[in-house]
Amino acid sequence: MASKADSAARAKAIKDRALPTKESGLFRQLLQHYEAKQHKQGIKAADQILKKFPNHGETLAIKALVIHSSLPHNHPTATSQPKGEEANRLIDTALRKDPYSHITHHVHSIILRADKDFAGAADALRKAREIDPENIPLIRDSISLYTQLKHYDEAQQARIKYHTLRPNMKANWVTVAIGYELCGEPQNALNVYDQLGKALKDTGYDSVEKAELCIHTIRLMVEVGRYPDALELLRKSVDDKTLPPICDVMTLEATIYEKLGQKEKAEEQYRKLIELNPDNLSYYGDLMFLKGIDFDSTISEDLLPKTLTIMDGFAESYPRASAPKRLILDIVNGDEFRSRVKAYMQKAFEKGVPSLFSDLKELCRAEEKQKIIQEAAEEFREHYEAKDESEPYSEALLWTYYFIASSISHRTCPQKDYARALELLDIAGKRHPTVPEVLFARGHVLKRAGDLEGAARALEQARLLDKSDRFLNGKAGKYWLRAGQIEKAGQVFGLFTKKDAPTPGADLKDMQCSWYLIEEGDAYRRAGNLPLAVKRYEQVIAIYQELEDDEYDFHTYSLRKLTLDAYQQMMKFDRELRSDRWFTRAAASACEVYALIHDDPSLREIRLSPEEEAERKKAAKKAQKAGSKAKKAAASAPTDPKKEKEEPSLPDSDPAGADYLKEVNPLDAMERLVQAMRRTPTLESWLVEFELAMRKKQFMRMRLAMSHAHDLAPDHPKVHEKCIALAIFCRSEAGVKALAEGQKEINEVALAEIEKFIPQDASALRTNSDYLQQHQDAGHIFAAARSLHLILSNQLGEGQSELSGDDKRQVEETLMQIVSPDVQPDLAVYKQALAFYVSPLKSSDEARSAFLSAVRKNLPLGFDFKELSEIASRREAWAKEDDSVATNGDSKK
Amino acid sequence: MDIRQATVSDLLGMQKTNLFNLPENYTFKYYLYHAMTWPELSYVACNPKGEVVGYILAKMDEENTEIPSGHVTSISVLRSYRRLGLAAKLMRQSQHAMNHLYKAHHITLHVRESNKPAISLYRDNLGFEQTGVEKGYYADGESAYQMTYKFNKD
Repeated sequence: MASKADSAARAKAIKDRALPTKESGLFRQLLQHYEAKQHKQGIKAADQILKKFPNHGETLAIKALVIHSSLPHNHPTATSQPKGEEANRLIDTALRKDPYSHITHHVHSIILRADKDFAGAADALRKAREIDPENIPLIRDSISLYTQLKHYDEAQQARIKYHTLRPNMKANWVTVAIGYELCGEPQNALNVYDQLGKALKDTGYDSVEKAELCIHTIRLMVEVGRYPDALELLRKSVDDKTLPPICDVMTLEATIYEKLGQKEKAEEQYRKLIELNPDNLSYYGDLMFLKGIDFDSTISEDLLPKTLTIMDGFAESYPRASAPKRLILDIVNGDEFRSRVKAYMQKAFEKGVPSLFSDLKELCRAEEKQKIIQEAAEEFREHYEAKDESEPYSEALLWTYYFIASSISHRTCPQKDYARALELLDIAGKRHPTVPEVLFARGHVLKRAGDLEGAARALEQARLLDKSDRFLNGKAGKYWLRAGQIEKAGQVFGLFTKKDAPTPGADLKDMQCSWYLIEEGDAYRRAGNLPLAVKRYEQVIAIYQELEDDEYDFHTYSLRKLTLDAYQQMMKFDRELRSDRWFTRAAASACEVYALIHDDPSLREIRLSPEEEAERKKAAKKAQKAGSKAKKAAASAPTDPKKEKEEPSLPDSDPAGADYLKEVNPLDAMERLVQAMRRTPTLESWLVEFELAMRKKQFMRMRLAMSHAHDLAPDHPKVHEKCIALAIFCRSEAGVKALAEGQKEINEVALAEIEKFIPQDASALRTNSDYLQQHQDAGHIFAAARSLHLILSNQLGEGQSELSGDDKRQVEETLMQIVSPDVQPDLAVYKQALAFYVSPLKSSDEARSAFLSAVRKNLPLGFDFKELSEIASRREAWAKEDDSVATNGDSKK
Repeated sequence: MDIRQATVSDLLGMQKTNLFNLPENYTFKYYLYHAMTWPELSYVACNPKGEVVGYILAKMDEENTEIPSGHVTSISVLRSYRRLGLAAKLMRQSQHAMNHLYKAHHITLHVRESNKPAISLYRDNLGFEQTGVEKGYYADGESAYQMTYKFNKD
């Protein structure tokens, strides 16, 4: 109930709102100017009203709107920034002066929405609708906003209200139907589509729109199991030419026949689809499934001949399609596999297909097939070597070498031989010095052999062979980042980025190039520059917010276009967006850094040697100069309306990310990212959530996170490590306190669940050693070593800060198992283990050296692990080599 | 390699492939706009891991609507997946939908005048003809050939 004072204030506001004739005419003009985007005239009209009625809330609001709508999107500029602030001040005043007008709240909502604050905009709109519940534009805006915020039920109420107020608009039928779909009520949606379908003739839709609507209706019928209805509508619509013969329609028809048990008719559709697109893998699988043959599982001996006959038939009918030939390779074994894979490989070698290995490497997971492929490749090599020098075979030999080099250096190969791979590529390179792929493959081999710098050099040489190819450019840049040469990478990327971008990286960021930002962030992190690492990770996270924001316009657009299948795809995309691998990588990496600076706040700032510090100051000065120059340029930019669009955006006020990392609350930042990742939970998200909960001392949350992680991957090294950490936490003072504070019943459930995967107090050591015995690869052994360290550290008495010599030796012995000859080398684990010796283990130099020399023995080509002097002398040799190449090049001129 | 119609979930893979291959890049919203307007016209080629290695991003001409015509906004295949004929296969699928759903009369596209392999693919394999030159079409000043494919429609 409104208080007396409130109703008096309301009455006064309503009275003050009424304007005299002249001013109310001006107000109407003001609205027209806004609609017509005549900003200057609009502001003039508003000012005329405000001169006499400075407290007129609605005029203040519309003036704010006119100013705000004239601003450039996304990037503030020198002139737009103060204008934006003015608009915000005006709307605040407007809301204060007249909080009883739906207009002030609506304008507030529009401004917040333009600034991508959808939640704030929805709140403002709710206030507006309380004042004027039947206002159509308010209802329309709220539908999109609630949908964007995934408040589907609230959106549906608005959709139904809209429909009730305007029952004759066909567009409103669609909005109600889609709303039902979003609320998970497809039956209700279908009822609406059915009615709409019946009225299709007089809807005024064009042929494409009719087809889109029809396809979507049929798909929904299939989803709810109304197969006969779906078939009837489909047949009728094909007959009357509403539906054209495109793959969407044929796939639906095949599915319906299949569901109705009419296998022959379904097969007929799949055959038509294959004829249309013989390179689509799923058509073959779906067709064979009809015949009781499942490509996803092993095919029994008695079904094999039939399968081969059918697939060979397709291979014959569509000789240019690789799908039928390639699919057979998944199915057959033994000699049948050998003869078929040989034919497949021969064709690829003689055509010069570089992707053959990536096409076949999934097959190499099976040991038998890996061996056959390997042998076949060697046979081809001998065959082509014997015919060498004659042109066509010389090319085939090149691609055979390329294939063998790729396969014997790949992780699926049991006996990797990097040296031979390089040897073959050397021969190929001498005969085909202008083919970049040879150097490209050389880079891959070197990377796998533990020589990132050598790899980057090879990719750089490949790039120089075809400077107009952006693919080679991007790969070279990526390898420079991996090798830690961030500046060099920037120069390389810059050859293809926009020339008017402030930096190459800025263009790649604007183009939403997530992989680049993550690679550069990782490079900064390895170099100890945590502020810039976090800055890059957060830029990726911001890109994903942009992608979500981009969806907003399509909540109305797709309904107008009737592209309803595509719209549902977009909503599915949205649900899965935060589990995309690049987002997950960026968020998890950022969280790792936040955890680091939470545990050790001194890491917020980069620690530099005096020389580095001097270098940094010089660079900062340069950057500052450039920044103030840009600012000046931005400020003095012409205000000519025609040129307004070209006004440069304000430079980033924190380009190195230093201010941000100094100020940020790491746990809040982690919480924000965990919440985003949780929208589609993955193993990674549960692991990050555990790390956060541990630092927040939230026992129940730790337990829940690990319970989910354990369900997904009980053997995963990180899961093992964190289970041990959780066991230790339970015993710690903080853990006991957290348990005591929880309700008794919850604790009993929790503890019972924990026992499933967390060892009893006394057996943590045993569980860890069992784990170690059961797993024999580098990642698992390292997890066991780290866990052992954790267990032993927690057994330290008071006043002890370091493990005893005996304890350390125990951990070191476990670490040494990583480099034992029967364990596959793992470069990432090697690097982490070497760091682990220094911190937190604080081992002696001897212990670490023992590990390092074993690594060097395992990886004779691994320059990443060599002495600095060796690395330096190789660089010198390279520099000389490059000089002589340059001089030779000059003398040729 | 698998050739199939692109869905909204493929757009990020297409954008990534585009950024790796070509200097003409677009923000995500432009890809989304294509997918939400002409969902049948864009196709992807994927490797056995399911990653996008090639794509065609296509649309219908919105300015001249009297004679419906298709337009290829962007098409490319990662260098390491060339010589498989993927570009031609992608183009044929898109052409089919342009023809049958949108009743396109012809298809246009732009190509760098220096891009000999692409020009020969369009002309010799796919039946396009050169129909014009646009001076300084690209940001670096290079000119574009306009190429056109005509459907047999009487």
